Amino acid sequence: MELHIHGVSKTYANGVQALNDVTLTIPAGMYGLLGPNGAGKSTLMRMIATLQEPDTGTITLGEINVVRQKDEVRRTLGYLPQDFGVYPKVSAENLLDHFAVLKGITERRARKEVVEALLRKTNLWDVRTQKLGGYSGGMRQRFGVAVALLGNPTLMIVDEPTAGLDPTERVRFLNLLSELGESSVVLLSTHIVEDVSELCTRMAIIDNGEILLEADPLRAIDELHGRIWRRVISTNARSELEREHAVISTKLLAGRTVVHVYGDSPPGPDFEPVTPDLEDVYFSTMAGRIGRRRQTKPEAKSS
Amino acid sequence: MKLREILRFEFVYQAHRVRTWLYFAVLLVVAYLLTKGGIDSARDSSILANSPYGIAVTTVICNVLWMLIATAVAGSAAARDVQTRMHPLVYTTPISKADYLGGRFVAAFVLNALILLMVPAGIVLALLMPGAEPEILGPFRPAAYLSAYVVMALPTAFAVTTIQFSLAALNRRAAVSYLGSVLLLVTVSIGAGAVINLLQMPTLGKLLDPIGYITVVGVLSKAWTPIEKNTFLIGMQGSMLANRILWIGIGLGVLGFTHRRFRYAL
Repeated sequence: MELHIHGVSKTYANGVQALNDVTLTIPAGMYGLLGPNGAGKSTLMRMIATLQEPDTGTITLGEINVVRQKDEVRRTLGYLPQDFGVYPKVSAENLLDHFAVLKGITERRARKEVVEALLRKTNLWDVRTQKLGGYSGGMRQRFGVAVALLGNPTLMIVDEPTAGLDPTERVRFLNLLSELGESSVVLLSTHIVEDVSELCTRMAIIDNGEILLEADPLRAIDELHGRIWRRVISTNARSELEREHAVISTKLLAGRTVVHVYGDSPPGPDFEPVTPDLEDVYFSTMAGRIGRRRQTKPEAKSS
Repeated sequence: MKLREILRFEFVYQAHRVRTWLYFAVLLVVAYLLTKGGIDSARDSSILANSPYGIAVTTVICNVLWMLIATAVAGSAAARDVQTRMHPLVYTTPISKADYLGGRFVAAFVLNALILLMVPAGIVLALLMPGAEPEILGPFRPAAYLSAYVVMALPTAFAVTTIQFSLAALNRRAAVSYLGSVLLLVTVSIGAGAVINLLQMPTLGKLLDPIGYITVVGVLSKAWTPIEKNTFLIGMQGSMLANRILWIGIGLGVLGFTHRRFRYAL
């Protein structure tokens, strides 16, 4: 099963172009869609989850036309939206059971088993009879995961799932996802680079509605080898450095500023080579040093 | 199967709200008190305390009250998913729009029908209580209660629930159903009054009244003699049946319109 997105564009009524000619091939396994807030990730995720339609372009899951055969997609879809609520005055157990019927698990005993297994898996078993209105953000998120996992989806869409989670919850959540990634297409959108580097075998970087890079994370990191340089500077030296060098990122580390610079050769005596990581791939792409923004970069910069 | 589950879940959810039980209680109490008042006035007139006409009057008055207080039943059934922002989870399950809307609507309608059963219950309760002497009571006639409930209350409940449900579903806000109820009441009573008094078209005017209030409280109170009030069953007259059929038809039309216009998407 593969998910193909071809030439998808979407402009909202208020004139905002959310997606611009997006083409992606997403194989089975964990796929990370990485980009800043407002890049168009959620719009793309909602389209694949049959909640919105593209203006142009096609989306197909195997043989299924996602835009036209919504019901077919929904039979095999697990969707965890970025932002969702639940009925406050119903228990997790009852609501999950209800969703199980809606997803087509109609046989009573099978449903009871599925619901119990998922409540245990998401660590909600002990609080299953509590009203959802009393759940914390992380618990509600895990409930959403349980709903999304109902019926063993072959297409799993998770939109910014780790945003509101504490570190422990995040690890537990990512473990849940990685189990699923063995057999299904799992598409994860996030603005957190670690989510992708820890989980995904394929990834795409999106910004302003355009795909800037489609890559295998490890290979992309490999290709940056010998091209990322680091220098620790005082904060006020930053703008001068940015004028002279291809700075891709500046970070604070224990009160000092650490600058990463892209370059085929050492940019200067004060720079030391860095073993690149996925963050360097991300920032090099966003800065237009690699990927599709590279060609259009000079014009954009001069203005 | 899915429609049944949607219906069941919605019904159980609302049955667990305190609000729902408040509606039951209010209608029971008001029907009881109205009947108690009827017992008092029956002593000074030749109209029986349990006349079919009196039962019908209590029914239509309680229907107006129900229409104004119980709007949240249809409203929340139609709009709760969007208002709690659970709709992205629901709308990505493989259920049809017809099952979704149908299950929710039927749950709201059944609940409203049960709430309105409190009206005959309140009437009977008041009559059974000590204080109603045998002289002012006619024989117990189930048909009087049945015709008031089936001919007067149920079609009203159906038509009004569809309108409340439709407004809430299409506007994605439960509170709009209350606004719809008020507007319906105001425009229709003004409209029907104008048609009857200004245009001198009483037949048309009576048709426009979704509750049958104008006919029962306005027209028949003068037109019927006490003996007629004590014996005739309301709702078996041609004009009243036409009114009921018209409003059931309007309800069906509103349901079809809602199904067509409802956006089963974000």
